[in-house]
Amino acid sequence: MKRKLLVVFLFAVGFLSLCGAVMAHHGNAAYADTPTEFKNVTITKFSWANPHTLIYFDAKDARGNVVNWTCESAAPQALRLIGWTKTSFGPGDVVSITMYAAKNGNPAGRLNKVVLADGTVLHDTQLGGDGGGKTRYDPDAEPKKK
Amino acid sequence: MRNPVFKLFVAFLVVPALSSIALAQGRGSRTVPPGFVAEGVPKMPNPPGPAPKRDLSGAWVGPQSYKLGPAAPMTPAGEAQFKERHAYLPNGLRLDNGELPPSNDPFITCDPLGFPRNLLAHAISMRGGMLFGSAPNRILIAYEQQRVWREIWTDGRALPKQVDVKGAPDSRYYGFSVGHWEDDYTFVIDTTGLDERPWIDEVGHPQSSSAKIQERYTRVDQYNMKLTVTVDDPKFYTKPWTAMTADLYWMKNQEFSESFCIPSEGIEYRDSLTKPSGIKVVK
Repeated sequence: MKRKLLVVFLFAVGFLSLCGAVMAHHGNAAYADTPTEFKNVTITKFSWANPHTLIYFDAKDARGNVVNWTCESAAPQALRLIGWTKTSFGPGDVVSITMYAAKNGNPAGRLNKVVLADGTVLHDTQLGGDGGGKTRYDPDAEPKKK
Repeated sequence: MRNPVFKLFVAFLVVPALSSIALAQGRGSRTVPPGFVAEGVPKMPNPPGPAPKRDLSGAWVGPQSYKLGPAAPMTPAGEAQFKERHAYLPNGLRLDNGELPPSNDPFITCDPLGFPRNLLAHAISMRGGMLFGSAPNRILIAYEQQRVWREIWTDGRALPKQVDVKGAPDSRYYGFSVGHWEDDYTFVIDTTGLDERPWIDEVGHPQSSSAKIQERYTRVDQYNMKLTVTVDDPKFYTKPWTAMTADLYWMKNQEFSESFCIPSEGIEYRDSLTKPSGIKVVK
């Protein structure tokens, strides 16, 4: 049964790549309602992938231990339209990440925005707005911020 | 189907699809910025030049401003097929109270979209590319999603009268196609011999291997093309019907990106993000 489910999943997620720019509307209830900012964290991996782009980074917890976080953003097709590329950042880059962390306390969540070392701001599409409360990023309505 | 893991999988499929189509229908879409005809589709200099004669070659983006169906009433055989199909959009693009129905849409299993569904879903983001090119005696059409292609024979050959019977060719996901110029600006493609597994649309309408699908591409000017797709399938429908009308627009940079279903990326997403996050989207 488990094997069958895995097969279903494998194929299922592939479908998401077809959904393009607006494929990310799932499961935000699992994430906190207010974002957390992680300043000057180090990227360990950047998966420019479907169904969702994943950003892995190391950040220190309250006791000084390094924790590897996983942060999802939209699909590449969507992010390209708002200025992202596959090489926007990569392992070793120090950035600041604002994200909606998982309520269950695990080191995972949904991106709000990444601020690169040169000040460039890369928003998430779905929860990338600056209006608070998990607002959607709307480049036409919000002035771009450095 | 009550397994929560399975529900999660299904949910991942359904909501994005709904969202995509919602945007495609014009609900919730963002303002189109200046210099664009649609999000991500740069506007060409105006005014467009005249349409070149008997020439569709180049990369086009779309479908833009499309309309689907409505499908004709089905025959009992068509109804029987349709009953077996569980769409992720059973209520006509509406998600009721966050409930996400299980679906056996072939999309879910990353099966080939097949023709004619790929005309819509190759570009479900509304920014997909389709490239018209040529080879001896045929026109080639390549699609961005999954990088699939079709060949449209223009040498006057006949379409197969049957498929999947002794002495006849096997059916195909993208069928057998022939094309001709109706006039200097309208290219007509007739297709048959389709594999019956793909769905015609998101709702799950069936197509028989003997269906005759006609596409009419009319180049309006240098940058605009109109498409009409009709379905004539007496086995499954009581009368012919228009499956889609859409506009295609000239792709400014003439280059489109790759877009694939990649199961390994899905596995990474599941293991790295959704499991740790405890995402629950279905009750």
